[in-house]
Amino acid sequence: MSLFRLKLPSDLNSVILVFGLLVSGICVIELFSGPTSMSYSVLASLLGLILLVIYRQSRALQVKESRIEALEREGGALTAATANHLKVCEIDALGRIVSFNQGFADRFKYSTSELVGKPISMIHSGGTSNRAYCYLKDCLSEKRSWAGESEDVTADGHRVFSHCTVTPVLDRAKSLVGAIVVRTDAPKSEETPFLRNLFHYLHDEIYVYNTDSLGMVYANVSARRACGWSNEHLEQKSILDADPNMDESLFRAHVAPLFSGEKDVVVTVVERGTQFGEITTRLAVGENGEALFVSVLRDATERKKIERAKMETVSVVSHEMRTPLTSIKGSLRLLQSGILGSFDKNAKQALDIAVRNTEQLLVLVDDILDLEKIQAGKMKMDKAPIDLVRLVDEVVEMNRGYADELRVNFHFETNLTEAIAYLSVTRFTQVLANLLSNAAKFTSAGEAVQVTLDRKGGFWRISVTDKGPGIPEEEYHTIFASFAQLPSPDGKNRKGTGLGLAIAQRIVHAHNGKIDFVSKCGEGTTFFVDLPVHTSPHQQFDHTCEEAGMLENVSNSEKMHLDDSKPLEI
Amino acid sequence: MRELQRILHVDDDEDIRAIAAMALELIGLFELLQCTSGQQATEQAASFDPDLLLLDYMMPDMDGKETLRELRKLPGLSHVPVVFMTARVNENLSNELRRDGALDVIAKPFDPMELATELRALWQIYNDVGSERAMLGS
Repeated sequence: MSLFRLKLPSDLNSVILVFGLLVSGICVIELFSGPTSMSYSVLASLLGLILLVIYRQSRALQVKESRIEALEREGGALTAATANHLKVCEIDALGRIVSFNQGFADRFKYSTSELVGKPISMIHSGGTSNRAYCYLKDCLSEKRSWAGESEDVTADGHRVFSHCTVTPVLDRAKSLVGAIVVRTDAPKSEETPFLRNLFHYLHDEIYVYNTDSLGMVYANVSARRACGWSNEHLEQKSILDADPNMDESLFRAHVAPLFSGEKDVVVTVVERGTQFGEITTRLAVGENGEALFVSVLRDATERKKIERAKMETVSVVSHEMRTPLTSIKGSLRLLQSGILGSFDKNAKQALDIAVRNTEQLLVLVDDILDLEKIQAGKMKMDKAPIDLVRLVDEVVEMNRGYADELRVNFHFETNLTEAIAYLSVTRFTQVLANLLSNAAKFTSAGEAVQVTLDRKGGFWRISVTDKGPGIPEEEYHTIFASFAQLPSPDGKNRKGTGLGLAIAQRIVHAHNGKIDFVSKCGEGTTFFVDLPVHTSPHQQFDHTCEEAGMLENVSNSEKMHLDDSKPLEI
Repeated sequence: MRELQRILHVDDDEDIRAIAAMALELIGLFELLQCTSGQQATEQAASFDPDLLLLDYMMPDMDGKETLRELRKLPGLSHVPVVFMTARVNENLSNELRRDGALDVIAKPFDPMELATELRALWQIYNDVGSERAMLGS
């Protein structure tokens, strides 16, 4: 019975071994005890058991054989399937084709005699200068595997794209014997050549280059033509070769927001003689996981012409409006002065309304002209080192009259005795005046607008805090947009052109600073401006609004209310 | 120092001329000659013998600069101080006109209640500078 508890042997050799051991054991018993009728019956039982075991094992072997047959059948199907899907070839250490499967032959439409012994470069588009072939050669010499996209050519001259895996074959001495090269259709096998061709012949210039070395990975036909590059020598080029005036450190500063996550895309405008080009740069991941820059240069000459024409039209209209406004405002002022006679109460009220709205119209015309000037890069900023403690104090005093009209008080305080910033007094006064007038408009009569000046790291921070109704969160993104009116949650109408903050933002950017706000509904809003601390007499930035306008980074599509985009130092 | 008395004002816009007339005659109490164009100004200026020229910059046919150039050719007008008025508020233009000898550039719309005071202040500066030059020359 103990035999049944034994684990049955799994192959015939084991069965024979067990059988031998049993027979040997019985012989030993017979030798010492002499044959008895009992021992015969035991022997017979044992023989029966042995036969049973042999039967079971032979059945197991039969099952195994039938499974192997089935597997062979399946294997044949698998081979047939892979022959269709995989394009496999074996090459020797010199890169000559040794053997290949049916899929390979079908793909490239060559006969055996046309392939065997021939260099593998014959199926690479462009021959030995093919990018994938170069990778293959490098990998073989370094005895490492490679996988990537390969642009190939068939016997009848058609270009085909495959995903290619190269696995080197080494002998026991670790010497290179050859390699197995497996090609599959890439997942986007239909799209890849189509898209590649689209990019290739696109009118826009496309540059793909490494983020570390700035070495070129890809340039489409337009880009290569513009730079005078040949495809063969592309990988020896750097993006810096595309423009002899390009400065690497400035370029790195330009693309820095891409790495910090501050921007998805950075945009700059370049001038090529009489032409303008807008370059959009973003990050991409290469097929081997490497970080790449993708820059697309689009001809912006026509757009610039249209913008210029639009700007000139607006400018002319605005200027033309100033002439009749001169007469209207002049007449109203003369009437209001009483020099031409006196008015009754109602006439005087009507006159005041006319004066107020004429002023409003004039501010709008001036703001439009300012904005157009900034966008055209015509707003000159004569910057100099200026003490902000004095300047803020002066601007607050200058605007006190307006606050008095609204019965609002301006309260300026700072612990600083001096705060030097490099700025244009005229333009910065405009920024502060805008913030002060906004704060005054949104503050209830009898309340105060707090103005503070302090230092935040490398910046001077000027804050203007009102006790107004606050800005609803859903309005945050519109605050610095052109023609955006500051919202009035309390429903009061506060007149403004909607351009003041847009102009202020551009002026602050042109000073390498930033402008932002924090707000709480029902409690008020603080607008603050950060300006770099001026430390060195040599620290002079010659930023005009041209730079602020033309090189302004395109921020993430959903711009946060925190406006931390900085002007580029290009 | 002689008082500012006679002003020659040239502007093609009738309404602006009317406002300026009230500002300069009624409020400023100046003796005023107004012309509608540079051409008319060159014809009438010499006989008027102005102390100061107030020229609109943007005018059809002859603009302010051309008008000034022609007026300068007239006897007695080669050194008369000039003030330009313009709706084209442009720092570059203002600087250019000042470099060309303008006392100042007044932006339109101007305040008619302040225009006379402004011109008197400029006249004062013109005379002060003239006196300094004379002293340095002596």
